[in-house]
Amino acid sequence: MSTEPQIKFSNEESKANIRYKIAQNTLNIIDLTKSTIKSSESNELFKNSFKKFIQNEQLIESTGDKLQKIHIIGSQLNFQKFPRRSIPSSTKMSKYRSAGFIGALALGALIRLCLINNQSLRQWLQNRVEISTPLTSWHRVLEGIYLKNSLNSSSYEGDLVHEIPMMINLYHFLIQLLSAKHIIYFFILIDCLNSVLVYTISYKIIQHTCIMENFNKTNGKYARLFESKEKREDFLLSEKNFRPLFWSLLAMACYLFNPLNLACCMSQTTVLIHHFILLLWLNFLLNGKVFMSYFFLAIHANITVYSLVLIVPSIGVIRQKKILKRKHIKSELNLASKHLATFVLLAALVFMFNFYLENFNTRFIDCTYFFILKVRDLVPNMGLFWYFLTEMFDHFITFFIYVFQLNAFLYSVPLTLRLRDEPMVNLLVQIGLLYVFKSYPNIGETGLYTAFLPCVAYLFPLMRNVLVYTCMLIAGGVLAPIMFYLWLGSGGGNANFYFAITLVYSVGQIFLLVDVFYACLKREFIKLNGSDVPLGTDGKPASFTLE
Amino acid sequence: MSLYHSDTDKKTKLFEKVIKFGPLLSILGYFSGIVYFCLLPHEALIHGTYISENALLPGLVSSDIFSTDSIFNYYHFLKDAYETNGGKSFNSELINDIFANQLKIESYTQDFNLTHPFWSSENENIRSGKNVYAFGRAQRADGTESIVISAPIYLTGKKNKKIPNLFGISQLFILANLAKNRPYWAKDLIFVATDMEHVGIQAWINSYFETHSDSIMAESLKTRGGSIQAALNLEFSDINTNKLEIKLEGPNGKLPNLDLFNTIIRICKSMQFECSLESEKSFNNDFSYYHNRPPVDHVSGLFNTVNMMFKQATGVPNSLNGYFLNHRIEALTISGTKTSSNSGRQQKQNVLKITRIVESTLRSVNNLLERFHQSFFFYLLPSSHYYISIGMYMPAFGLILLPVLIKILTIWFTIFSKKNTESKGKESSLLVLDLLKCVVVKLMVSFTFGIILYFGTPFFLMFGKVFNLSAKDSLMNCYLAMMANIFVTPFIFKTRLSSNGNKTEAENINKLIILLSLTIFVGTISVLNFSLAFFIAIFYSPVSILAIQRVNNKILKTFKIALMVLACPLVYFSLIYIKYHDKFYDFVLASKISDIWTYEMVNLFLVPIWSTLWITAFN
Repeated sequence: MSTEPQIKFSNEESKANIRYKIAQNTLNIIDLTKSTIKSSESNELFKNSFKKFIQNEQLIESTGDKLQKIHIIGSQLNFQKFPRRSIPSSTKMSKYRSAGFIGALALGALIRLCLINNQSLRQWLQNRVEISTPLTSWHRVLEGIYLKNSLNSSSYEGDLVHEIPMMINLYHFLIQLLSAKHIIYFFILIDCLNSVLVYTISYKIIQHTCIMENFNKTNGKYARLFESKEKREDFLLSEKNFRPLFWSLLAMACYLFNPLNLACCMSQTTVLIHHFILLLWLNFLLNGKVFMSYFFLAIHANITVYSLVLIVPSIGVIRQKKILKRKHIKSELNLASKHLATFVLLAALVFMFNFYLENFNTRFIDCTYFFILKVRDLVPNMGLFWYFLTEMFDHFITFFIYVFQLNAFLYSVPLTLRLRDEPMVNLLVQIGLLYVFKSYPNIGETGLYTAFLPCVAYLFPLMRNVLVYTCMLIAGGVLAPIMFYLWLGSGGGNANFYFAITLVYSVGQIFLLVDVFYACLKREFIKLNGSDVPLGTDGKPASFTLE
Repeated sequence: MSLYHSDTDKKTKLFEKVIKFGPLLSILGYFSGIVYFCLLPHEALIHGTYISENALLPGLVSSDIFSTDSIFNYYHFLKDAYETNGGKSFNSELINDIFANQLKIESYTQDFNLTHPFWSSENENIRSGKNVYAFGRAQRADGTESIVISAPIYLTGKKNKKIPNLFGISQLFILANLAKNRPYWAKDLIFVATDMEHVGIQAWINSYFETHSDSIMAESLKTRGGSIQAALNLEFSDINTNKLEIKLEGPNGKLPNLDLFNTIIRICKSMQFECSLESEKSFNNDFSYYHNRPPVDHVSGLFNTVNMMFKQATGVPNSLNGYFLNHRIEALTISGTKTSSNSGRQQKQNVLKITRIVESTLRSVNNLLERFHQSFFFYLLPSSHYYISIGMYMPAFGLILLPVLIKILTIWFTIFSKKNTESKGKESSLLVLDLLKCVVVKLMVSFTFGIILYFGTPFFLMFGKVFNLSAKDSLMNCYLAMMANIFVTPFIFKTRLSSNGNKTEAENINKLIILLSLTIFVGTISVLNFSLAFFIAIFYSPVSILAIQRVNNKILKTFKIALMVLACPLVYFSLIYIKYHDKFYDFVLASKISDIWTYEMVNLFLVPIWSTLWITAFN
């Protein structure tokens, strides 16, 4: 902007008028943010951004395209003039918040504590293939610990255990601390901690989205939105019309009371601990502690190989944080490669640590990383691999494993590039896709990323087929054990019954993620181009399709 | 026009069409579903049964049973034992003795106890019995597979009279003799004579597969055969039999593979012996039974189908064969009936034929190279020669459920249509909060009823003890209390919405959730027990639509409420209880003893769905 030529205003009066209005507007917004945002960091951020804003306006004055800019400011001011609806004061809201937070957490914990008394239910769940996948089964962990400590051999003897040595040692430590019988309480604790993390992360995500939108608005990026005929005052997010407190509480409730997560907690799968690590990554990432976040992502990537692609959306988030802080990014490639190198180094360190724990025995590499990549265990689960690979002739398997595995890694970079201005949606979509395309998916993973859907609830009016995939997901979840029973229990059905349901379940998830993606793109289009339906080349209203 | 909503023109058009033609389509769908179902046994739609598994080769072997002498010997021996000591000497010990000492095959007894799952009076609390099981090992085979032939020692006749299964047990001996002497058996034959009817067979099967049961404590088995491929259960209340009836229905709507059934029918035909489904009606008796395939009789076919569906819908096994089905063993019951009195000569011939039929069936199954996997597991039988496959009857179910689906679509569109989202003008978080408050509370209250009924039955019975009521009567009181509670709920509990709340919106979402949960429930059940789902759908499809409809006319309103009361599952339970006192109590017990989930599923899911509908109807 600084390169633009300076032109003096002829009319001093209007200039003063505009300045006054801008100042008023800015103060107004700062006041509002002060009352709603407690966090000092974001407050600081706001002040900074508004300082920049005012400086910008001074630049605007000096730009050539004077009239248009005045128009923008005018429309923004008009925008502020809409009468505010009565909303509960922030103190009342925060009271709601703490009551809701504690209430939800207590209720969630209570339900879990009640349910663990039902031994038959727990046993049934522990044996479900949808929950106890080879990677997350607690029985396998116990076996690994037994092999290691009682028989003094490697945990990976017999190709039963597929967790990394680090985790096996951790579980062993926990069992020594708590005894195998009481370890369930640890799982409940972790699940509750997960829900708290979901809460804080959702809060951060929403806050970030709101700040970003406000930032872009004040920068005049959404000028055309204010020029469009039909104005929707609450279209752009702010913390007034999209309350972080409420929606993050809802996200937490979604995590705590999701039957999928309840089932995972009951069956003591280690996926909860994997979730914990993943959520720590997200938490540190959103709090700006990049190194810590990469450290946890490196651990998670060592546990489930697929999550290493999540480094790409993390870089997207960091990039936008930099933009928000008005740090100049010299070269995006440079930034990306720097972060990538850090991550790879950390991941290698974690790997070396595991290697050291195994006394530099290479056996575990085959049992963990290659086990995941080669998909050796074809016991049915809710994923897409097992059926295809059981049906396939042996000499095709290698090729198709490559094709299938590519799916999990392929979308990361293009999606991040496309959604570079919506890194939060990008995070959500990528975590989701990862869980759909991985080789041994667990239903708890669906439970995890669907808990974050309230963070993008503002996309809901733009989504297209909510009913379709909601029904698909519910039908998949309910019918999966039944079809499994018909196939392997009563013998009336066959493998296709269960496969059909896993397909419905996976396709439902993909529909959901694609719809979130679509809605996000459409929203972006509206923000940048206004809400009027553009005319196509033939003069008729153009339609919005995802291609 | 703007881009703020997800609707495209196509979608709006679809919405308009659904609104316009929805009611018509619903009515059309529902009635055409019923009509289609009634037409299923018609000549044009029905298919004749056929044997799918090639290895079975029914009726191709020549029988090794040449005379009835030994059958009658055993029969009279058992009969004498039964008649001499007031029936007491005809017991497991006697049967064990014959197996072990006369036939000289491996034979063991198994003791078991039945503990009453609920509280009841002291004397009926624990009952015990004794099973006999014997092994006819296949001489030239490796003993990896086996066939079970079971017969209850006593049958329950009319008015709970105990009838000795003399002929059935004697057939076990004849077959045991064959198993011992013949070289062609590829599978072990396991002979099981069970005490206390279904309790005995369940105790034996539980021990065989080492599954745990809370109420049946059984001794573990001393030895086992190979994996069981099929089971035949023989029930003959009288030796004077000239017709066989075949019972199929297992627990929770399970059915044996149709091939097994077809085999028996085919063999009976080749032996020229009359054989049919249980209580099969046939209105035209003109045809000769030995025709290749009798002509289709639409009316009686429909009658038989519905009859079979009623039996299937209760979820209670029709006979002892059902308990094998739980363990993936194809099983059916052959029972004998008498349609006319026979001369002594004819009787002898019939006895020979029946024994040969059982032998021939066993030898067909003996031919099997792999488990029963061909043919059908999901079917309905309008007669013994025709079947309706799942592909034929499922569309009827779908059509009957169509009104609910259309209603779901309509409600969905009205909530999220263009107009609605534009006029919303309210903060989204408050809106969601309102909805949650309104919808979740209602659902929670309803599901509490279900959970109380599901888990609370033993407590209700305990509670009855305080008032000196018998267990059976306190069950009735439990229903009455629950019904009173549910009926009163809408008047006590009025959903409070925030004053500026979007009442219609919340109501719509509430309706949507009820209809969705109903569809999911019925759809899920339809996979497991089609008949139960079908009957529920026939009732609940119109009732649910009517319940959520706003009605202003007074007459219509009373009609609606009357229909809703009629649809309440608890009302049915009470009515059935009044009519069949003991049978219903046994039904409730069966859900605890034999893992029959019909009663529990209805309590846990249908009662809450109904109660939500009831609350909504009064809103």
